[in-house]
Amino acid sequence: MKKKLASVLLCTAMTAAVLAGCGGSSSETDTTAAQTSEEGSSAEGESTDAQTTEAQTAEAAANLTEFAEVPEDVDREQTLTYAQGADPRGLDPALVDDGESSKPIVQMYEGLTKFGDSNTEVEPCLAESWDISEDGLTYTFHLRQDVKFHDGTDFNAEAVKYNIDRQTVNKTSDMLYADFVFGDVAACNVVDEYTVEVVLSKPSTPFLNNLAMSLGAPMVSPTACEAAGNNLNEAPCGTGPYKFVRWDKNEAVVLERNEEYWGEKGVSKEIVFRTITDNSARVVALTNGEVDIIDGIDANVVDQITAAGCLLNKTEGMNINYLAYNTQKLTDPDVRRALSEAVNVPELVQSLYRGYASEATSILPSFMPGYSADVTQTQYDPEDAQAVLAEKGITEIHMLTYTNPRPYNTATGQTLAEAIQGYWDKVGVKCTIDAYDWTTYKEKIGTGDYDVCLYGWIGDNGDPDNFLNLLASEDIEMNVAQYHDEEFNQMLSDAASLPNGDERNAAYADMEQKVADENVWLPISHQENLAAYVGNVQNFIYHPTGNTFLSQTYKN
Amino acid sequence: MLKYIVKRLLLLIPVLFGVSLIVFFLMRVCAPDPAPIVLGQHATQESMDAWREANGLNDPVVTQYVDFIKGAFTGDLGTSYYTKTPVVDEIMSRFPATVELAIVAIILASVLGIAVGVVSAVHKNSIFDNGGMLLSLVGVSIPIFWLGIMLIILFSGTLHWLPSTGRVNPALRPDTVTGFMIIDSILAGDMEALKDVLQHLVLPAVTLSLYSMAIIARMTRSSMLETLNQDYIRTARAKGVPEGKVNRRHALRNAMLPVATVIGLQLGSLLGGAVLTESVYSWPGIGNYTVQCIMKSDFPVVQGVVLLIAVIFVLMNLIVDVVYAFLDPRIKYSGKEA
Repeated sequence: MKKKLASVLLCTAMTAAVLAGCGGSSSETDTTAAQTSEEGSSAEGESTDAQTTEAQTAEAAANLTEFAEVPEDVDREQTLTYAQGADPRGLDPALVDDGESSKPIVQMYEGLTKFGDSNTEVEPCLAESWDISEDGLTYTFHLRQDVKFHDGTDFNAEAVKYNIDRQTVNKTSDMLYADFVFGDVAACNVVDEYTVEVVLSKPSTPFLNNLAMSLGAPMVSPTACEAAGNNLNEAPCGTGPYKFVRWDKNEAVVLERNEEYWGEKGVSKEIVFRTITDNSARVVALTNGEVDIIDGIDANVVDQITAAGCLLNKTEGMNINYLAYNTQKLTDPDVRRALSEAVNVPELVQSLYRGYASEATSILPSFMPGYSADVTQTQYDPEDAQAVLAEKGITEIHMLTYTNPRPYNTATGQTLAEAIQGYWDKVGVKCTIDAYDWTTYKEKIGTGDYDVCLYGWIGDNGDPDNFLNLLASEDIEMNVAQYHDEEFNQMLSDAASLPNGDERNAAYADMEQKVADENVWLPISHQENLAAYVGNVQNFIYHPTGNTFLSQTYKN
Repeated sequence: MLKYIVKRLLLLIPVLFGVSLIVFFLMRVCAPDPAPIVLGQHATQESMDAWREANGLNDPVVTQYVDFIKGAFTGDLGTSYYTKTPVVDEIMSRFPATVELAIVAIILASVLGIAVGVVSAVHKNSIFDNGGMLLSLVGVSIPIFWLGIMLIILFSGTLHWLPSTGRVNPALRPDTVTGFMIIDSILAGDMEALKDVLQHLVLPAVTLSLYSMAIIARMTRSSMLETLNQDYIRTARAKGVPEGKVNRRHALRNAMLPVATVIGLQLGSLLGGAVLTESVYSWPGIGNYTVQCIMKSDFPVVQGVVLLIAVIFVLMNLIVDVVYAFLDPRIKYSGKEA
């Protein structure tokens, strides 16, 4: 009898726990959805506390466009702790490709050029100035003369040559950005101690942007690199405002202020990059005061963050989430237009990304040179779509997609595919979805066996060529629309060699309009970069490249 | 005895051979191609081909396996595809974290598990017994990742009593001597660091120990009950030995044998990397690391870790069997009856 009673009690308890678990998660989702749909107004008359945090969030949302001056009385002995979701792959900028490595790297290293505080315009850095020859082939860089690497050796023209040669003539197969950054370099010559000449094999305006990138481009100390066997992954040595102290694997990378730094010295004495893999645990670490700044946030935890008095930082990201038509299979542009007309993109973006991604009105994000608000995409028109598709006899579509969340599509490719499937269903087209994990998906893409697929791109260097050249690539895994258009290719190669400025920007707007008119892609959204920090963190900018330059960031 | 140990150690060879064979071929059949993962967004077909060639992935699988075994015999498990660091170094830098957590967890689990088990057995069918067994049922059934998150939210997020993740506050970290933070902070004489290390250990150790504790409690209870029904217990009671002494000296010591086995096996599995606990608490041990490497198709690391886990398991089994002989003089492994 006792046993029976115990088992009944146990069953009741377990059922209750299960129900409570379900209830809890769904109500959380509902609140988040409600809040976002109301554009952040506090839900159901909550307390004034909630309103204050909403106000703070709104305040934080007014992002800085450049770093403010640091007050005299700020504590310069402080430690700033930043938590990210994975351990860095390594700390040698030539050998890594991940954002987790990039963030510590930008505190320790610098390139010849750098990006603006909150945009991708090129500014001088280790090179004070440069001259470009008439034919656009020879770049002469005049270097700063007061710079030393962290190991005490001089930064000079020989060091630049060493770095460029390292990723060109002496390149190894694991230098993941070497071809991207330095692929057009034909030669690098030392002119004098502080002047270096780089000769390109073809004119390339994005070259200056490439030199500002955090991967591939940063200058490493030749002496340190030689000593570490051409691999600085665990012994980084650059010229930046912070120096390497130690890396406790899967725990933390610890950096300290470079007191000999040539520019504005870092504010915090130490910067620590901690690895906290679990998303919920990372949020708790922030609200518990163990860390000061976190990234890798999704919409579900926004309430938890703001309720704890922490602030949210939201910036447009350098990426594009899109649907591509396989132009080798769907050869008729009218069919592609009709399929695009059937999808209500603004509604789709709002419901899937809940305000944490912006609708893509062009391939390029709005902060990039070459972006034009005048580019028009196909508008939502289901009646016309239905008529055209019926007339053309299109009743079935085969879509390939991925099951994982991606940086440009946090809702996963599968969810996005199902949403689009719903729209097409309404206009009488049955869409079959094949979804695979990311790696298998890429293999399937390689076979070219699909009518449409979902894809995306994360920008590298902030130059419009970096996005639009995808449509000229011979590699199907890059050019998933398999778009091969002579005129477009010519426009692209002409624009790549034009100097930065209005003429070049207009050329990219023309290209955007051309592919929009031909409905090669259906641009969907630009995912925003989300970070959160404790209330007293000042001077924080989440750069569109996904990096955070923390030397002027501090707590008061 | 020595002969027995040597025989058992020799058995390690076929076990490792089998394990390596399974993990080697399983990774190659099931895991995605590592080349695009390692080379990233800008990988071209040529660069991927070159990389596969350089890493021997174009060789016949059997050749690859033979190369791997040859390397393993000389202590060379290859280098990680992803970080280019030797696998042995990658494992050794993380193994102390796993060992430290496992030992603390098994101590916690043994002390609490035996206590609960004994109380349940002695007061059979009482409220203590039912409560203890309900607790152990919860212990074996509760999903670790859920429990971990709940404890973090409660003790770190709401009460702010304990740190949520990691091994130590990076600012307090003692110099690495042994890799065991408790020992290192004692060696450094830094009590503040020791306190921080212990605080960081509480939640992961409790989470990890719960399952083992439940198993140990159940085993202790049933073993104690069996022993308490033995004739010699009745005799002891009949002689007028006090009940506490009967339970402690006559029952518990004899009931400990199967419990010791369970503790040994549990320790073996905890040392093999507590994958879920380590992931939830971002504990920098081999369990957490292996998960990340499986995701990245980092074959050499996964192979290396699995081999290590197999060795640990076999050795723990052996140690348990040897300890048996000391715990129970009736057992001898020489094959001859005394």
